[in-house]
Parts: sequence; C-alpha cells; structure tokens
Amino acid sequence: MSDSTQPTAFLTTRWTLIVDAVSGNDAVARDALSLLAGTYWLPLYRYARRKNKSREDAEDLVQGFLAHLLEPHCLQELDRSHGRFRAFLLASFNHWMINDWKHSIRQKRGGPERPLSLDIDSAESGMKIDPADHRSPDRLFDREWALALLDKVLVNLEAAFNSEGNAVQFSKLRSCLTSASARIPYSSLATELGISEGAVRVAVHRLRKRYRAQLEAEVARTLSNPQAVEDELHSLFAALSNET
Amino acid sequence: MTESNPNQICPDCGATMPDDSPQDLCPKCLLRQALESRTLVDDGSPSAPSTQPPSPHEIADKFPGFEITECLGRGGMGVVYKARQKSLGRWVTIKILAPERVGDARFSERFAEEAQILARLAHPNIVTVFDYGETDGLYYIVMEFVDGVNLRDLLRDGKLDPTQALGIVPPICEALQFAHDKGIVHRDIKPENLLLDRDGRIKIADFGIASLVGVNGDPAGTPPYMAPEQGTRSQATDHRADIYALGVVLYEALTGERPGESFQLPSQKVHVDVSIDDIVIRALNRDPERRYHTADEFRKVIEKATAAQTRGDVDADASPAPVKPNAPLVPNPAPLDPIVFRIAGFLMIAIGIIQVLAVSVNVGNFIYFLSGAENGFFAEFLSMTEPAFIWFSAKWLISASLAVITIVGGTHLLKGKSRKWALAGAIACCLSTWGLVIGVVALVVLLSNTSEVFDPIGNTPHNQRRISRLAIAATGFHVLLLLCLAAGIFVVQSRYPITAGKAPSVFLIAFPVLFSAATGSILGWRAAIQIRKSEGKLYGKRLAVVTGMVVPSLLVIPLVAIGAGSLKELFASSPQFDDATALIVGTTTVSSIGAIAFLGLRTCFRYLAGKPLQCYSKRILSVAGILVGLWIVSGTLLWV
Repeated sequence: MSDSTQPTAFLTTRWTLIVDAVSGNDAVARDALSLLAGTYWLPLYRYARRKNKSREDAEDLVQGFLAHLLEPHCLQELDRSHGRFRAFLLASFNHWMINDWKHSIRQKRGGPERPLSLDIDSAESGMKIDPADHRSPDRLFDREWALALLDKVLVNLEAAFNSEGNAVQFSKLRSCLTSASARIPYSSLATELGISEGAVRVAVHRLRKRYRAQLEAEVARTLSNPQAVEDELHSLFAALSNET
Repeated sequence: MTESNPNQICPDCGATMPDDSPQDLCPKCLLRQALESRTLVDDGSPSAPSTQPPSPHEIADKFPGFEITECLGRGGMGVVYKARQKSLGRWVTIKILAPERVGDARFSERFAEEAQILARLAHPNIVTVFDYGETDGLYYIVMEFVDGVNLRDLLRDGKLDPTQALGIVPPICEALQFAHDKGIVHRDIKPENLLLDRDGRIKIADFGIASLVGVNGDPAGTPPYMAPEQGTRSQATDHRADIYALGVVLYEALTGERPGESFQLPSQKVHVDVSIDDIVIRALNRDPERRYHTADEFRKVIEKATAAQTRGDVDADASPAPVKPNAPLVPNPAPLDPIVFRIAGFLMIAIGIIQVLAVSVNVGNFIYFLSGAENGFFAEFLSMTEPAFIWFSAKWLISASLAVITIVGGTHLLKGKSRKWALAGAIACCLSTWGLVIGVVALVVLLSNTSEVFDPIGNTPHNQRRISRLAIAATGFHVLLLLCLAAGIFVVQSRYPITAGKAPSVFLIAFPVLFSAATGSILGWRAAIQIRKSEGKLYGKRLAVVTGMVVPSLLVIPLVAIGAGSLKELFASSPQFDDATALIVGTTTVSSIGAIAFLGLRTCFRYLAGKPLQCYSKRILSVAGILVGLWIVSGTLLWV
C-alpha cells in the first residue's frame, strides 16, 4: 500500500488542506488525496459489504466514491464532520451510497475512471472471522480503519528501515512494539542480532520512538486539528477493544 | 496485510488476534503501547515553557565555530543544541544556560568557577565538558555529544528488567565517586541526566549545573529525586544527596514507579532478591547519616546483590519463587550504638570541659595577678627564669589542647562519627590531669568494638558542610596574641619608669606575642587554602582571611619604620637639603612605602580570598615600579 511515488509535499499535511487544494484543482494534492484514500479504502469496502452490497456493487461503490472524491468542486458542500477524516469519509460515503451511486455508477462502471486497483480478495479475507458479528457496520468501520492505519504505519516503518539497510533489525525487533519492556528478551535479541544488550535497548527505544512519531503523524494527517491526536488514538483504541 | 493463522493469540494481552493484524502484531497492544508511552511523556516532562527556545538558525551567528544542526530540547537548566565543531569535525552538544541571567555579574563569576571545576571531571562515565563561555550574554557549555537516549526515554517504555536496572548503578557509582573525591556533588541525578550511548554505556550529564543555576536560591534539583535535606537546608547537602537520588532512580528502574512517602518494597512489586530491598531502603533513608556513606560502598553492595540476583534467577527457573508475605516497610535498623559509647563520650566531654575551666582559671589568675601589681604570685612570676616561664606557658597550652581534643573526641564517640577523632580524644583524656580513668575506659570501649558505628569518612573533606577547624584554631591563637599583648603592656606599665634592674625580659613579652601571631596567621593561611579546596564543604572563609592577614598587616609596621628611619637618617646626615629636594624625597618615600604596603597586602588578601592574582593593570604596576625605583635611585644618590 505504500507508494514510492507519494507526493512528499503532502506527506504530513492535514487532510483538510489537501481537500481544499483538490477543490482548487491542484494535481499534486489530488495525488495526495488519492494516496490517503488508498490507505483507507478497505474499511469503506467492508462497510459497504456489511451493508449487504454484493462484491461487485461494493467495489463499484468504493471506486465511484473515490473517483468522485478526487473531482474538483464536489467536496465543498460536504460536512467536514468535526475535522476527522475518518468521520468525513464515512459520512461522505454514506451520502454517496444513498444519493449518487444509482445515477453515476452505472455510467462509470467499466469506464476509465477507476482510480485505485483494489485487492478485493484480500479485502474479503478479513470478513471471514466475524461471521456472527452483531456490532453495527459503523463500529466495524472504525475498527478496520484502525487496522488499516496501523498497517500503513508499520509498512512505512518497515520501508524506512529497509531503505537504511536495517531490515533484519526491524524484523527481529518489531515484536517489541507490542510488549511491555519487562517482557522483552533483550539478552536473546542481543545474541540474535550480534550486538550488545545495551545497544538492543537503545535500538528498541528508537524503534518505539519512530513508531510513535509515525503513528502520530499518520493520525494527525487525518485530523484538521493536530492537537486532537490523543483523542483520536483513544477512540481508535476503544474501537479495537470492543471486539471481545 | 500479512496472512496468518486465524487462531493466533497475542502473547502480551492474551486476546485472539484478528487475522488481518498488521505485521502479525496485536493491533490493540500496538495502540496501547503508543498510548502508554504518550501518557508517560506528558507525565514526566516539565511544563511547557512559555517562550520558544531560539531556533538553531537564530543562534547560529553567535557560534561561528559551530554548525548548529538542531535543537535537542529544553529543560529546566537551559536549551540544548546539537552542533558540529567545524575545526575538529566532531559532534558536540551546546547547552545554553539560563538566558534570563544575562548581565548577572554574580552568575557570571560563579559560572566560570563551576565550568572550570566541571572541566576537571574526565571520566568515561561522565559527559566531558569541552569548553564554556559567554557570547552576547548567552552562557554556554560545549559538551561531548552522546549519541543515544536517556534513561527517562527507556523508562517511558516501562520499567527495566531487574538485571538491567541493577546494571546501570555500578558505572554511575564509579563516576559519582570520582566526582565526590574531587568534592563535586551532582545535586540533580535523575533519569533525564543519565545517558546511554549506542553501545549501552552510561554517562552522567549536567554535573554541577544544578548548583550553578540554583545559585540565587532557586530550587536546585528535581523534586522527586531530591533528598529530604535538599529541600530544607541547602547548605547541608553533600554527596549523600546524590546517593539518595540514585536510590530513587534505581527504585524507578526496578518498579517503574517513583517511591512515595511510604513505598512498597521492590521485592513485593517485581521478582528481585530481598537483599535489593535493604539496599534501596538504605539509599533512600531520610537521614543522610544512615545512607551509604560513599558511592563506592553503594556500588559494592549492588554488585554483590546482582550476583545474588543472577543466582536467584537460576534458582527461580528450577522452582517457583516462594510467595513473600506482605511485610510493612520497616525503617532501616539503626547501626549498633551501645549505650557505653554514649556514656564514655559524655564523660570525655565532661572531663574536657573541666580541663578547659581549670586552664581558664589559671589564665585568669595570671592576668588577675598581672594587673593587681604587688602580689606574691606576681612577684614570683616575674622572677621566673626564662626556662621556667616557657615551661609554665607550655604547660597550660598543652592542657588546653588536650582538653579541646578530649571534647572533640568525646563528641565523635557520642555521635559515633569518626573513629580516628574518638581515639585521639581518648588518648588525650588519658593524658589529662583527671582523665586517666575515663580515658582508659573510652579506649577499651573503642578497641573492643570495631562495628560500623564509625563513619569511615567522618573527617574527610566531603563530609557535611562544616566550619573550618583550622580557622577556629587560628582565631584562638589571635585571641591569645591579644592576651599576650595586654599582659606585655601590663608588665611594662607596672615597671614604669623602667630602670636597668627592673627591665622586663624582651623574650618574656616578645616570644608569646610573635609565637601567637605567627601560628595564628599560618593556621589562617592554611585554613583559607583548605576552605578553597573543599569546594564549599567548609565555611569560615572570612575568619580565615582575617586571621591570615594579621602577620602581613603587622609587617607594615617595620616597613613604615624603615621608611621613617631612612628619612630621618637622610635628613640628619644632610641638613642642607632645600625644600624641593625634601619634598621629592619625602613624597617618593611615603608613596613607595604606601605602594609596597598596599600591593603586598592586596596580593595577600586576594590570594587568601581565592581571587585571581592577575588583577593589576599594567599602568598601576608600572606607576608603582617607577615610584619605588625613583625612591631607591634618589635615596642612593643622596646617600652617596
């Protein structure tokens, strides 16, 4: 999902600015928005599927919606939903499903305007584990959103480590991202990596710090107010915690 | 999304992981860790400063020799920048201290003093100071750049493994001992100041900066890590405050929490050997006397406990650790202090006081009889031969010294402080007139018990801040000097007019006066040097300076006498001088004497007060030199 051609100018720009730029028909901003949408299309697809759409319909809906999203002048009238891209995307998608798709999707189906190549098989696979799920599609959307966001962060992190030639270190240390410090087997990691225990501690700390920074940056991009990162993290955590 | 086994269980929270978990990591734990560490960041960091620190770009032109790359952070002590020293191509850290102190002369002086002390701290576990200075009113210190993280960063991720936590203490102790031996106390040991480099080596940063920034009575140190005595009497803190702070750091590293007023023992919270509990309790004792006396002592017990811990871990692998009862926190048991010690000490002090009283009565008698002229004792005293007089003076000087040593030794015995002093006191007690029995008892008590009642460093320089004993002794000798002068005046007066048969012995008056003056000044001189070297552990500097200045001041008298004498001689030998010559000779003589006296006294004073001696401008020195030269030349010419 990570893209080496991502427009760096928008890498850390808040989504509202991107949307405003898209409204102004800025090509770079369009790429940035499509990248942002590319990260989070999967929760939308599954949301549509849970709304009892067929695979084909769901795919059409998502593709059509994203194409619509990238069109200039079509975003201005939409509710910004208190500055959260997550809420904005879901609200817009709902809006799209109810009003627009019947009219526009038929024309667009099979047409050239398919902004993303969607891996529908992979998107379907995640649906198998919650057969008897009584939670609302909205809640599940949030949960999948969180998963997509974390995946994006980890993929970015891995790419960054790979580009620095530290792929092995990342693969060995990434499990430390979930563990409490006391549970991390520093000494065995040190042996595996062939560095001192102190160096492992420092490396783990740096990994965590980078992970945190990436996570916060990624979350901040989906908010219009960067101060709300903490709240957004809490609500994502809550969305993940509700599943048991 | 990585495909994985749908039944995978998260090893951290035990929940079933969704099969679309990112990178096979439990998403819940991923977020929880991020949230927890965020909370800790907010918790541990100082409140955000109201003003933004200047950006690297803004201060770049103030440091032309450096290429300032980034601002590493801002703490209570100032702002830290990462920079590259262009000349040597090395990375350094530049710390800009207290921007609000710009133009504060006292701070400036103190800053230079402290930085010079810090520059002497060359130790592998202490961040090296390369340079310091002031540029455009910004006080800065250039330090070694440590590429790594600080312990606070590591603790943000939660507590450390016990072996790791214990492992950080010995190198810190070594570095602290090194600094304490030089009389330097850190005063702000905390996780933020303990840096770990990429090889896992630990280094202490910000030595002495706490006391520097806190010079105007601002709080020096960081409250949770401050020893109780730091909060109350700042002058009474010593190296044991660092030991307390390190105790807090150790507790936090072991348990992930800071110890509160009453804290749970580490072994109740994490799997550590019980011996660690005792170590932590002792290091965290509210009474500095009951903490580890030195960082080295702390290090040794930690190393011993680490060995035990490693053994314990092996045992624990074989069999489950026994469940420990929830014992309440007991204060550290007091070191052995048998009542005999106290009684013996008390008796020694009593004997000493009696001795002092006896000596005072003798001296009082002496002075009384000196003043009440026609008296048998006085007559007898005056008729003393010189050896008899010396014996008489020596006898009461010796008894006075014995009494003082007895009292000091008794105090040490009573408080269980210094074994050396207690022994000296007991011996002095044996030698005094009425103290033999008590002295012997005290000696027996001392020699039969070698327990750790005695502070092994009780009389080393990095004990608690105290008054310089040498300065007190110097003052004592000058009081004696005054008494001798008074006595001398009485003696001379009582025989006035002096006739050949009744002339008092010059030795009788001059010897005690000169002896007391010289001894007092030498002691004062020594005391001043000792106080300066003690780096703030001793006080009484003014007393030392005044006592040390007595002899140099007295030396002005012969100098004036020489000047006056030479003038008198000159005018007597050549009475034909006209007024102009007389004026020139008189002025040069008086001003030369004045200049020599002034420069000499000022130099002595500055030396004693520990101020730099290069204080004279070339102009003053050349004027003084010309005056003296003129005096010598004119004097010689006229003489010839």
